[in-house]
Amino acid sequence: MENLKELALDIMEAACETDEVREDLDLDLFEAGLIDSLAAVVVLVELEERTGIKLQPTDMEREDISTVNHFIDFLEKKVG
Amino acid sequence: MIFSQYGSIFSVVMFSLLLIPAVIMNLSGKRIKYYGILLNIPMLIFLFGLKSLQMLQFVVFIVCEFILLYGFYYLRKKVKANWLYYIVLALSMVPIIVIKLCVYTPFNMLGFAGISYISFRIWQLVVEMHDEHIEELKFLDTIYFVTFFPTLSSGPIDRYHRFLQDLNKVVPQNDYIENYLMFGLGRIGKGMIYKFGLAFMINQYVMTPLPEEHTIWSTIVYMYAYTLYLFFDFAGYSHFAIGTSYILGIKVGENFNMPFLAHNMKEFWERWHISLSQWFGDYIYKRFVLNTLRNKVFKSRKTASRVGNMVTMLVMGIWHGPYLFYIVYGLYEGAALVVTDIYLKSKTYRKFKQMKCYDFVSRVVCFQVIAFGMLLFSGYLFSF
Repeated sequence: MENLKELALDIMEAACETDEVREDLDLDLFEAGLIDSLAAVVVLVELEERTGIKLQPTDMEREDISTVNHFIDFLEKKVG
Repeated sequence: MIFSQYGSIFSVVMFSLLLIPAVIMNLSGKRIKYYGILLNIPMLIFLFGLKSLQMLQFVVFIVCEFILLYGFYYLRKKVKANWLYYIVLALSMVPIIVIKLCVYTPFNMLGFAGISYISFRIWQLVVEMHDEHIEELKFLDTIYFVTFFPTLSSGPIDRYHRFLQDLNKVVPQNDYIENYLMFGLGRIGKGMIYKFGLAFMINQYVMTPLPEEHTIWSTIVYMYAYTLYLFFDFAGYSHFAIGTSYILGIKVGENFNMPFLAHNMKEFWERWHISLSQWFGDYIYKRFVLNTLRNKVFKSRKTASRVGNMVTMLVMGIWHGPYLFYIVYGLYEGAALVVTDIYLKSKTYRKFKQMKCYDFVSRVVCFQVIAFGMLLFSGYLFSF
């Protein structure tokens, strides 16, 4: 679980290009203007580079990356 | 662009009346699904005419595309190869490409309302099958999804899984009355005001009286009038499409969210023709960027994204038709996105955002960029 949280934070930090994502895990990243469609793709690229899991854009809903906590839940389902 | 589907008050009222049985069925706890599927038949006849060339093309098109879809559905499990996917995708595009190119031939009367939007739904199914998101392709559900009448001619473009979820449930009475029926009727009312009130008046009293000869003044008037006209006409159409979909139990996505309040072009595409821009975002932009990054085509993510913006918008432009002004329009919108991206990442933007005049000034500037894009889109500059 701790590992997944770190993985999620690392990926989000790389995708949003800011460590602000670490401050509030329930912050709506879309509303805060931290994430956009490019960042959503970078999430997939980073995930693939770090875990080898290959996903398509439609495997991940907007909701899955709207907050860091949602993303942790999403990773739990995909990484297991 | 003409939206003949809800083109007159008569057709809207008639279609609304045909929804009454659906309302009664839902209120008595029955699923609307089969009535909805049946309702498609008279509505299609009403739209195309029973023995018309349009109807013939529509039927042939649907039959061919379904043979292709089911062929892929069964073959993909046996032949796990990418080439099959690409062949199927290319074949599914043949009809729309041929029909669009027919404008340059004596067969320029070919084509039927909704072919573009139906194609979006079909390509979506092909891609989703390839990605193994679709385990079972149920015939009735799929044909209803592809030919769902309320959104047939111009969207909003729905997603297969979302559609199926709504399709197979019975909504509790109170929920249905409040969130589907009343909501839907409200939307149809708004559509009336938008399309037959505002859009009609702008066209009648501003655009039509303009002189045939294009002057700088007439072009400026046309630019703003057309921008507002297109919004009220298309948003009006969308109100009808969304309202009737809801009454049939389908909570289709939104298409507009106050687009002229956007602060920049990136935000504009999150507010204008939303279902289309999300479709292009998911199926073209994101896949382009993802694949080019995977294969290391571009060194930086920024470059991949910006080339992705240009490619996506160019495709969007050409999709409207094989005319020069649509290509110019696509390039313009792509360039606008690239410039916006550079601007949003700049220090100037961060400073400007703190200023009091930010909201007002950026909205006014953004509206000019939007309106000029609409002027290109209208083809006015290219017709003399």
